Amino acid sequence: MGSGDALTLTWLSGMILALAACSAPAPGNAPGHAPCEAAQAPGQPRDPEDPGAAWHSATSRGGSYQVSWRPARGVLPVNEPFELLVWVEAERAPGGPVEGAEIIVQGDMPDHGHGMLREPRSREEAPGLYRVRGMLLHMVGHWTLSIDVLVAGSAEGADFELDL
Amino acid sequence: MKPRRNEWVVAVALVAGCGARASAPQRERPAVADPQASLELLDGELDAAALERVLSLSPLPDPPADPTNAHADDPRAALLGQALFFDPRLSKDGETSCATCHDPARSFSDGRTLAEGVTTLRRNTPSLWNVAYQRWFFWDGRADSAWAQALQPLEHPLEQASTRLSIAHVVHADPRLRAAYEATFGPLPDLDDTQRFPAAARPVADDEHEHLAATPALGRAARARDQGSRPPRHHEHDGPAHFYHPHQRAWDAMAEQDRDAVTRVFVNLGKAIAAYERRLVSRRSPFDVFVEGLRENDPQKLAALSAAQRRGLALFVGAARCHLCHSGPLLSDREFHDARVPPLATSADGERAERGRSEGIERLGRDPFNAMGPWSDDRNAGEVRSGFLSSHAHGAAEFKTPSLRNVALSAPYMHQGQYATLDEVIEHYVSLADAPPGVGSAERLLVPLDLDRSAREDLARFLQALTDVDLDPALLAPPHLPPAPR
Repeated sequence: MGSGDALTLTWLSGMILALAACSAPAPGNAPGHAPCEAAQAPGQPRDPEDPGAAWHSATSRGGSYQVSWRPARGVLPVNEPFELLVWVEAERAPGGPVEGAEIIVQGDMPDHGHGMLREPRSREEAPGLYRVRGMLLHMVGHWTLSIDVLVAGSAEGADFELDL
Repeated sequence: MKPRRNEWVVAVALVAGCGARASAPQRERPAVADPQASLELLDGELDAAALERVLSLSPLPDPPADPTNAHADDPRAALLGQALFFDPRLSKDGETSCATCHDPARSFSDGRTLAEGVTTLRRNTPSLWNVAYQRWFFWDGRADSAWAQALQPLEHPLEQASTRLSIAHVVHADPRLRAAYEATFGPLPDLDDTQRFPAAARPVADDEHEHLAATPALGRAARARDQGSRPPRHHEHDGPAHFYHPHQRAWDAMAEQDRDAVTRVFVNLGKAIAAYERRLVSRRSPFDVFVEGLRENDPQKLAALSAAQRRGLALFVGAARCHLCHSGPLLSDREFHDARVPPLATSADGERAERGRSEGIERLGRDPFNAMGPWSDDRNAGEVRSGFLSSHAHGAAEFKTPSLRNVALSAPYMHQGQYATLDEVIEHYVSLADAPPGVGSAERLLVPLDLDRSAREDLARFLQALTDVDLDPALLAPPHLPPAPR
């Protein structure tokens, strides 16, 4: 088998796994956790380095925001620093991107009793689009990612489940 | 900018990006010729998932770049650093070099329960094998580069107890060291001018007294374990908290630009030592040969591990779950955990004073030589490394996961050398009989393991298969520096 075939196989198996992961919440998800929704907004937001990137989306706990995220470089590395792009829209009228927020990301490993050993910080790059620096998930296993949107002193976030 | 949600399409190609499970590994690994053939060669000892976990542990690639040290890969700097590493003149008593505790004959460690400087120190001496792959240094990670780590013992009053001025004078006065330095880093300051450059001077940290000695209880416990070790030299360090140290007084009397010039020399020497230490690489143990065999379907290479070692490996990535923290090709996640190892001494002044990583983060923040500071050669890279640390202020003390490469050679084990043998380490993780109650962020995955005596022996034998000391012998002793040009 040539390396191209191996790559194709890896890609296909990744795709199958991803389809399974996205079609329904993983077993054991806490009630209320939105299933992983990966979709592409045709056109926006787009990263010139990775225009085909998929986003994970969920409605925030109080129903105020649609929170979408993806690793800035397209892949989620294990035990290496990385950045997230987070896209926040208002769920309620008049909708639109949520500007001027601070994004607080926390990672936890509920099975381990600890979480991410970093405190990432965010910077707004365009209306509603935030870059979160300082991420590092240091172990394989099950993670919960909590993405809080802090606007005018009020925080509301969305929860995501990950298996590294 | 708004993506209209009703226009979002689930495209198959894009769905591949959803979820961590679809993510590509961060570093390319050599391909496996035929995974099924490898599994068949192993005759059912590993399943496909376990095989994948084993493959994640080898090979160890080249050391990662250290952009905070522009001289990390400069052979001239490495040669100078090697000379400094073995040079006892870089100590107050003229007898103590880096190699005194990091002894090449003892796997770059010292074989002691706790390190022994002027008196007993607080922690076990870590080995320097593969130190270039580490993200943090010391058991509590209070340094974030190998060069910043190397500087601390030089001036620590209970380790080499020297000063940056004294060390700069040693280099300046030795024609070969001076030539090696100047060929790499440029001219030394005019250290002959003793008015500007006193014999000994350094900035003394405000909290130096807090970090000096091990507690008496720890010292007694360590000496009891290290029977036959030399008694510690008598040393008192109970000065008043605001004592104006003569080293500080001499430092304050210097012009600012002269202080900076001397600190620059000191930092460069640390970077040279780190350049030497980058060469202490161990990466072709029997286990690595075995993994090559898995990738190449080569039964001869698979024979590098005995049947017992293979059973131990299966436990390592299976029921014993060692691989969760001892992950990646360094066999360490390079981060910090509370593994519920009992303190060496439990007196009131013993373990409770130990805060592990939370103290390390505080001290790293105050370290002028941290990777984000003015002496770093890439402060942006330093920020990625150290700019986002959480406080860890809750829970019990956490310590760095040690690498397991060459682990069989670096007894005793754990941050205070609590366990004399690998068998004792395994016994801790299997029974947790000696473990204090888990509090705060204690690793909740630690539960007693159902491993019988023979399984424990297999695990220990696997750990013995991580040994590779095949290093250029020229790196194990002081180098021959070329004479200074006339």
